[in-house]
Amino acid sequence: VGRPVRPFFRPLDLLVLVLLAAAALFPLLRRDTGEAGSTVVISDGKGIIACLPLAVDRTLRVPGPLGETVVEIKGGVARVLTSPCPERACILSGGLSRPGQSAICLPNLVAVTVRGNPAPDDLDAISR
Amino acid sequence: VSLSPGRLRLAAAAGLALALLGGALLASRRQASSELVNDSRFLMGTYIQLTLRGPDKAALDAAMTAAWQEMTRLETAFDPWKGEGPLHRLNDSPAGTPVPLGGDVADLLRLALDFRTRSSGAFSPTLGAMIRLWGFAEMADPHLPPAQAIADTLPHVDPTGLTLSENGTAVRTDPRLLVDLGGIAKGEIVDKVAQLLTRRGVNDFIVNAGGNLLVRGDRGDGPWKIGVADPDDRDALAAKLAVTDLAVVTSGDYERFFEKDGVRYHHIFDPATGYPARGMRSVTIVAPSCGLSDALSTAVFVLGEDRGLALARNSGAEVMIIGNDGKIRQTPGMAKYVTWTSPKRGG
Repeated sequence: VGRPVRPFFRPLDLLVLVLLAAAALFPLLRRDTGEAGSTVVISDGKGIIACLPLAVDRTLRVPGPLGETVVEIKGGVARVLTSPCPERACILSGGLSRPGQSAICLPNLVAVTVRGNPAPDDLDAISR
Repeated sequence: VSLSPGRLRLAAAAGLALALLGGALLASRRQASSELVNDSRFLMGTYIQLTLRGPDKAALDAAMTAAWQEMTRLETAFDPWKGEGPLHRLNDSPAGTPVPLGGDVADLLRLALDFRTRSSGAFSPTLGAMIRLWGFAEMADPHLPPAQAIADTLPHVDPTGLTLSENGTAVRTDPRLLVDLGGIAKGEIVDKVAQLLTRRGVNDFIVNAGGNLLVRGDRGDGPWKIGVADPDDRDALAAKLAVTDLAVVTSGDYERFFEKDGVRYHHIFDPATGYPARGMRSVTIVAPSCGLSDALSTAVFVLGEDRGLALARNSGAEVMIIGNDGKIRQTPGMAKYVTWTSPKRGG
């Protein structure tokens, strides 16, 4: 009768290994979600007019060729509240909170874009 | 020398942990060495967004500046309605006047006329008079023209009223014909900017001209992730794609439109009728060239589902169509790029 075969790694060894692996990979898996530190970039026909932190509530009035576009940042979400354009595509773009999301008003030449480090699920661009 | 099983386990565990830490360190250094530079502007009647990724921020900034200069130059060259470019000179000159177009514009006009033939007239570079009649030129004042005005204008979108010689000189023989490369120029400019960025050593980037975009390389942790807009909801997506080294172009009835008496009139015209095409809600093309994809998306939209899919297959492009029933149809090869489809679109 031989001695019972013992596994090379015992359960406790495996647990330690898993913890070590998790500690090593944590910084990589934890890519910035984009919420903290994200910036709202607001442009008009001449270029960027404001870069505002997404985390700070604020309302901005942006003049354009058709009138005034009102941009709101509230609770970590930016959106176009009102616009003088006929299509209202910028308003219908809804709330912007992830890097890469944008609301563009072509008639009034106002663009609102969220910039930051994209999370793995974030989109890089939208084809429309 | 012999090690006890306990020491062997310890050594193995320590080795594995070191390997993991080393790998993580290398990967994090790689991530840290990758700079991401974004910039955007209103140009060419749309909103252009550039995303460049690379190890050297100064080089990316310099490439970005060069890209904007190139786009501004090409915007002037391809503008049919204003400015000092050759296309505006052609449209503004009396009939019978020879106008040298220069290489960029002549080549693109030739390509566009060739594609008009290949698409059985579904795409046309001589629709300018109709587009202006509807007020979609520069989005000046889109409106529904009288039916008689549309009928009167229709003969003047026929490209036989234009000649283009081998040396790149164009003549309008029909005084009412107007050339408009709007259905292909944005894509062509994206291609040219992509070539410039590649020449400057930028290997990972997105050039996005109002949703007509071209990607090269990847985003660092995999292929670039591109959403396809839902025709009914600007806040929603119809599908998500993962692509590298390809153009993605979408045309739909939900961009640049007006409504009158409950009817939506959009900017994609059927050259045969002079009215907006009604064959589908949107079409997305995935192909190597953004210029060809741009023209193809218009032609497929005008041709409708069956003939449009056939044209795309013959052009070597992959296509996703959202039909008037709201459901997605696509070429078999499109599946390899699609990572998600909206359930309401048949996903």
